[in-house]
Order: sequence, then C-alpha cells, then structure tokens
Amino acid sequence: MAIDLDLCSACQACVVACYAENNIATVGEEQIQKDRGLHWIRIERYWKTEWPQPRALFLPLLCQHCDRAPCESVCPVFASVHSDDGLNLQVYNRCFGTRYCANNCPYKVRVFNWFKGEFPEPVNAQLNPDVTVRGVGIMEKCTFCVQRIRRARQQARAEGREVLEGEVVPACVQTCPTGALTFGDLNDPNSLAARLAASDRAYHLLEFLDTEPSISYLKGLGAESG
Amino acid sequence: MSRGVIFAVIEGQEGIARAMRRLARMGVSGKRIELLTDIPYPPALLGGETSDTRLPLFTSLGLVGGLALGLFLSVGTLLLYPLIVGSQAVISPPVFVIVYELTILGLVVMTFVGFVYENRFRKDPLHDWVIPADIEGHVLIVQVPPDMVESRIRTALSEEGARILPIEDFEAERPEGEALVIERGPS
Amino acid sequence: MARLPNWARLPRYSRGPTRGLGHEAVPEAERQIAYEHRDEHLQPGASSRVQDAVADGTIEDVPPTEEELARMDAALDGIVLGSMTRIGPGYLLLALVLGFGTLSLFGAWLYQIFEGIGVAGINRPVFWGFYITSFVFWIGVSHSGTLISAILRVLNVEWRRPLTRGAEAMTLFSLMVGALFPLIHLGRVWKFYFMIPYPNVRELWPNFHSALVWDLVAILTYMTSSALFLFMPMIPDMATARDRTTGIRRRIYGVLALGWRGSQQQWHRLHLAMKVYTIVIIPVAVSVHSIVSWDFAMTTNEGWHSTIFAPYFVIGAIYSGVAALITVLIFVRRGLGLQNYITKFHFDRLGLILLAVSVIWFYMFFAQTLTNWYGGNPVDRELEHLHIFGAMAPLWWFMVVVNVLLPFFTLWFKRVRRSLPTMLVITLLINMGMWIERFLIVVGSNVRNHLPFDWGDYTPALPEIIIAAATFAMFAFLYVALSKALPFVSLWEVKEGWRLDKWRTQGIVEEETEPVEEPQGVSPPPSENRPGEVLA
Repeated sequence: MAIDLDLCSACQACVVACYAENNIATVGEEQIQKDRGLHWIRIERYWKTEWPQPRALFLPLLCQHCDRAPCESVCPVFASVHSDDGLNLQVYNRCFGTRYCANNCPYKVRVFNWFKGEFPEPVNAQLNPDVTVRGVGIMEKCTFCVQRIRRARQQARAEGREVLEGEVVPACVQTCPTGALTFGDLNDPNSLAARLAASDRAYHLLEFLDTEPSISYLKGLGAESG
Repeated sequence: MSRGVIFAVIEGQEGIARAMRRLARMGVSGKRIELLTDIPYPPALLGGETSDTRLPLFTSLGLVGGLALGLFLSVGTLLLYPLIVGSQAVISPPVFVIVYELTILGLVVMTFVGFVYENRFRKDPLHDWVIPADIEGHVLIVQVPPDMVESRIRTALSEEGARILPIEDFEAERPEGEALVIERGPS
Repeated sequence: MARLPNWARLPRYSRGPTRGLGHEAVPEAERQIAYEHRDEHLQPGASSRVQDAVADGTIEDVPPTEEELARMDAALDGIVLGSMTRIGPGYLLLALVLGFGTLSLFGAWLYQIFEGIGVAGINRPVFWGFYITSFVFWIGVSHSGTLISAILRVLNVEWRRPLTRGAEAMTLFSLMVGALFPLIHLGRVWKFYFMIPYPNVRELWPNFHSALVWDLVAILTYMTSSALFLFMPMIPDMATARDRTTGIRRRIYGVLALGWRGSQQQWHRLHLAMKVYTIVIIPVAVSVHSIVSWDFAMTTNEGWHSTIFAPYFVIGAIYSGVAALITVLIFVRRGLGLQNYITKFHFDRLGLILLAVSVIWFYMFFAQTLTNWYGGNPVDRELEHLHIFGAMAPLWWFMVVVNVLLPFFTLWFKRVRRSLPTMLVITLLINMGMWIERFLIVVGSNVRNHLPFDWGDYTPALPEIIIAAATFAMFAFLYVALSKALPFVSLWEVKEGWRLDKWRTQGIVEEETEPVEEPQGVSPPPSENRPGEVLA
C-alpha cells in the first residue's frame, strides 16, 4: 500500500469505512477516553505550529504488515502469523488475549477487545457477513480487508486468470475522496502501488527499526513540505 | 530357633559405630545389614560401605527423555507444521531455552520417581520385616551369612553394647516387660 | 480395628518417648540457654563475643555429649511437632482473615472473567499493568528458597540448616501465587490450554519462539523442582511426625512418608537425590528469572529492550527474595515458637547477604540507567524525564531511597541486623521498593513509545488492586495453613548439624576396645567426657 500524505485531508472517511466493512464495535465515549478505541486505521494528528497559526500534520496509521513483524514471533499460540501474500494475519479464534503482540508493535496499531462488542440497533443490520464478529479478549487489527483479497483471488481462480490490477480495493482505499491511499501488488513492478513505493518521495515509518513494513508513505514537494 | 536373622537395638551413636565396625571387621557384607537411624550418619564413620543404587539410571533416563521432548517440541513441531513468524528461522536460540528447561524437568522428575520406586518397591536386604513402633533406640537387622555361626554374631553385637531381641513367629499381645514380638510381613 | 497397610506400619526409628512430644522432659530455662548458646558457638563463624570467649578459654568449645544431644533432639521435636498440633483461637482468627483475603482474590478474578478484562485499568498502549508487575514480583520472591537451600547447601554453610524448610516453602508458595497471574491477565482465560503442547486436530502447537512459552516451561520446571526439593528432604520428618502422632494425622503422615524406614540405604539414596537437585536447581532458578525478564527484553519497546535485563532481574529476584525471607522468618519464628533455632545470628548473616545483594543490584541499576542516558535515544530520554522529574518521580525516588540508600546506610551495622523489628521494617520497605521497581519497568516503560500521539497513562482499577493485594493474603494463608501440616524446620538436618562438628573433629567413638585401622577423617577421641553442665 502507498499513502500519499500530501493528499490526505484527515477527513476520517477511511476510519468510518473500515468500521463499517470490518464489523468493528464502537466502544463509547468513556472507553475512548481511557484509550480503548478499536480503530483499525486512525489519523494521527501532530501540531506543526501553535495558535494563532495552528497547522497540523496528519498520519493515517494502520497495520503496516511488516515483513519482519515483531508481533508475530511473540504470540505464544501462533495467533499472529505471516501469509504467503505478505499479509500479517490475525487468527481470532486462536487468540486468547495475552496482548504480547500489542506490546511489541512499535506502531501500536493493534487494538484489543476489552469487553464484548455491542452493535445496537440499527447498526447490527449492516454487519458484514464476510467478517467475523470478535468476542471479548481478542486482539484485532487491520487485515488489508483480507476478505476482499480472498474473494478476488477466488474469483480469479474460478475464471482461470490472475488477479488484475485494481481488482482488490480495501474499504479505506475505496472510500478515500482524495485518492491518498493506493493498494496493489508490490511484487508486480508495473502496479501503481509498486511504482509509488519506488518513487523518490517514499519512506517507511520508523524505518530504523527494520521491521520492513509493506506501507510506503509519500511526502514532499507538497504544500506541507519543508 | 534361628531364621538366620538377628534383631538388635542399639543406643547412641557410639554404639552404632562400634557395632557396624565390628560387623565389618567380621566380614559381614553391607548388603546383609540394615541399620535404621533417625539422622544420616556418614558411611565412613560406620565402616565405610555404601549400598548400590540404581538412582543414577533413573536420572539419566530422565535427562534423555527431557532432551528428546524438548527437541521434539521446539524443532519437531515446527518441522511438522512450519509457521514462519517474524522471519525467524526454525533452528534458533529459542530451541536451546526449551531443551535446557525440559531436560532439567525430566531429570528432576525421574530422580524423584526413582527415589520413591527404590524406597517402596526395591527389596533392600531385609525389606519386608515389620517392626513394632515402640522400640527405643536404633534398630539393627543382620542377616546371618551362610558361612557364619549366628551365635558368633550375637556375641559380638552384645559385646559392643547392642541388645538382641528374640524372634517369635506368631503375633501375640506383649505383656509388660517381656520379650518383644517381631513378625514377618507379607513378602 | 483395621490394620494399616504393611508399608505404613514401619518402625519408629527416632528416639524419644512414644507418646507425647518430648519437650516436657527438658526444663524451660535449660532449653533456652542450652540451645541458643549451642547453636551460636558451634556455627563456623560464631559471633565475635563467643569467639572471643572461646579464645580466652572461658567457654570450652566441646561438642555436646550423647545425653545433651538426646535432650536437644527431644526439645526440637517437641517444639516443632507441638506447634503443628496446637490450634488456638488466635491461629483460627488469622487463618480466617487470610482465607477471606484469598477468597476475595478469586472473587475479583471471577468478576473480571464474567465482565471482561476491561474492568482492569489497562488500555492501549499500556497493555500490561498490575498483573504482570505482581507476576514478576512473586517470581522474584521465589528465588529466596533456592538461594538458602541450594546455594548455601552447596557451599556447606552450616547455619542454613534451620532455615531451609521455611525458605523452600516460601519458594513454592510464591511460585504458586505468581503462576496465577499469567492466567489472570489473559483476555480469554478459558482458552488457556492453547499454550500447552498437546496434539490436536488442527496440528497446532504453541509458538516456542515466544518468551511467554519459555515462561510456561521454565516456571513449570521450577515449580516442579521446588516442590520436589521441598518434599523429598521432608520425608524423614514425615516419618518422625508419623511416629509421634496418633489417629488421622498418623495415617496421613504415614502415606506421605512414602515407606521411609531410615535405613542407611535410604539415607544414601536421599543424599544422592539431594545432591542432584541442589546442583540442578541453581541454574534453573537463574534461568527462570532470566526468561521472565526476556518477556520484556525480547520486545522492541525502548524501555525494555536492554541486554542487561536477564542478570538485572535475577539479582533483583535474589534481592527481594532474601528481603521477603527475612520478613517471613521473623513472623514464623514468633508464630511457631522457634526462637531457639532461628536466632539473631541467622538474621545477622541474612542481613549481610542482603547488603551484598543490594550493592550488586545498585550496580546493575546504575549500569542500565547510565547506558540509557548516554545513548540519547529520544524515547529513553523521555522515559527518564518521566521517571526522575515527571509524574512518576515520587515512585522512582522512593525506590532509589529504599532500595539503594536504606540498606547501604543501615545494614552495615551489626546492631541493626540483630534487631528484629528494625529488620522487619527495612525488609518490608525494600520489598515495597522492588514492587515499585517492577511497576516502573512494566508500566512505566509502556507509557512512552516512538509515536507521541500514542503515548498513554495508566490508572489501576479496583479489581486490579484487590487481586494484587489479595495475593499477599493468599501467600500468607498458604504459609499459615500449611504450618499445621508440615514441619517448618528440617528436623533431621538440624540434628545432623549438631553432630557434624564432633564427627569432623573427633569421630563417633569415644573409646576403642581393640586397636583397629581408623577410617579416614577420624582422630583419637579425648579421654574424658564433659559433664552435662550447661554454659551460663
């Protein structure tokens, strides 16, 4: 995935879309104040200048799907494993809530179900049947909408072809009004995502930790640079 | 009536040492002597013979078993169902941690099992004798070697201060002040 | 009346009267003087006052006679076994209060299971809080028993004899309490068995690359070893208890004595097994707390990612373990009436060990702090600022004062070490400081990370406070409850210790009737016996 920070307007549409697509429970104001939100993608806001000229920098942060994910090796029961497509998978029914993976994630993108999630009317009518509803005590995080990926691959296999460029669109990418998010196959050098990742403007978050994340952030030559 | 077994009661640590050394000088092998004491006396002070025991065998079995289990769990299971996490190789330092701990666990458990087994099930020289609980002093049981005369051992022990107890082969009430009854338990 | 099975009707081999417990035979005053004094001046490294007296010739350094030994044995048996059979109203009240505390632990835990782990105060990014702090603390306390039992035994330090049983019991109980916490802090505790390696349909095994699985294996090994290390030398004492008690107690102790007769072959086996255990349990103890420290050191968190954690935690464990041992021994000594056997001399020596360990701990702590500060990593800098000057400063400074300055400026003085109320206060403060140190590491490093938007804080919630506090009640309850079932002084080891001095210098036999070759290590005896006078 590539995220263009110069295009991101911090409208939070991706956050809402992710909630809708992945059956994420809302936890209520009191729990949010205790830092227990279940956002799989969040917009981090850093103040660049203060009042009276406040300027903020925005960083959409979701699971980086690191190639050398620190969260995978510490889960005692293999609830966090790496797939062949380069995804970092979270196996909900295997997780029993030690929260060691969340301690080891330097990006703190893993969120935990502190209570049983509630879906009051009429929200429960729009639950996505392709995605598990998690119970209490389970770790979760962005999956790059793995249900959409799997569906596209099944479709492609049924039709006897490869997955096409642009066929897989996670919910956040689909919803972003400015097109800041781009998703594609990094192994295909012709895909947009791979070309963006190879551009001069690309960098990785917390690169010095050597986690080799799959997400490239693009920045520079824009209004906020310098 | 001689069954080839002598029961004696000894008072005091000096009495024990004297009796044991006398028996050793007479040539009675340690395998035929059983001395019951409340604290351990160093074998060197009692004539120097220690018993044979199969405890090291149990310990080694435990070590090997623990090692095997540790290797199976840390290497074998990953080879059976390879799940790569964090790009870490299968054979790596965590293997050492698991193998080390489980080896010691096996060693420790089997040592205890061996200890209990040898105490309960192994036939020490005179294991199946049941002795009444109200004897004052240390009990010494000697199985007379076939090439010795029982009375010679009796005399020697009496000289060193041991009190010989007669054996009756029936169970009876013991009137006060009379000879104690010692029964043979089931083998 | 039904006959006991064959192996339970084995002989009483220990000396003393059949009925009753023996200590009535020895007058109170004589007991006091004889045993305290005897313990003191027979220890290698006896107090300077006594050593001076021995040098002057005002006390003769002569081992006890047969008769004195008989009385000392009987007194020891009487006091220890007597305390096991006496149940008074004070004891029942104490047991009731502590039992209630233990029940509140499980009550709070059940509440947490039904409501969800969210009733605790943990959040993102502080995913571990009071529970893991308590876990590390209790596993740390468990190192006391290993130090006293195993290390001092290997070094042939004779004054450890009355302390081993109580210390080993402390190890086992604190391990039992500490091992609850990996279960308590789970989000889905009913699935805990996923971590146990067993063949299943999905062919899934635990992840042996994870430090939590190393925890499981290490704590399992340590708990098993400690339990067996406690139980095996207790078998001869179980046999003594079997012989001295009646009724249901006799049957239970008979079962627990596992066919112990006291024959020389059995003693030989016990010695062999103990030698194996002693040697093996020391590296196990070191590895256990290293592995617990690697729960933290194997992460990418800047406050945890330190190579010194393994030795730092092991020394911290020994530190809090020895302090906790002193605390527990002060209470046990009073509660079981063991003043004659656990003497001020022991606290003197334990206090010196505590002082030495506190200095080593400070060295590790300083090395870590210095390295972190020097590197200038922004997260480290932020954490330091938080700890030393920021919101966590009161905790940090309390820890430094109590763990570094307090032992260094008090434990040098013999008068302090021999004063039990002072030692109680010092060791309680040290353990408070060590608990806070664990808190600062577990929580105090999670509140800051690489992304300032995700910094957090932590407020403990009521279930967490109840559970963390109730573990102390549970620990005390285990001790109090089992003090009536298990002898908390190792009877045969103490008795052996009384005789060792004489065996080493004079051998057993006072006179020889005929010239013989002496076995090694026995020298000619003195020509007269010392009368059974006690020293004033």
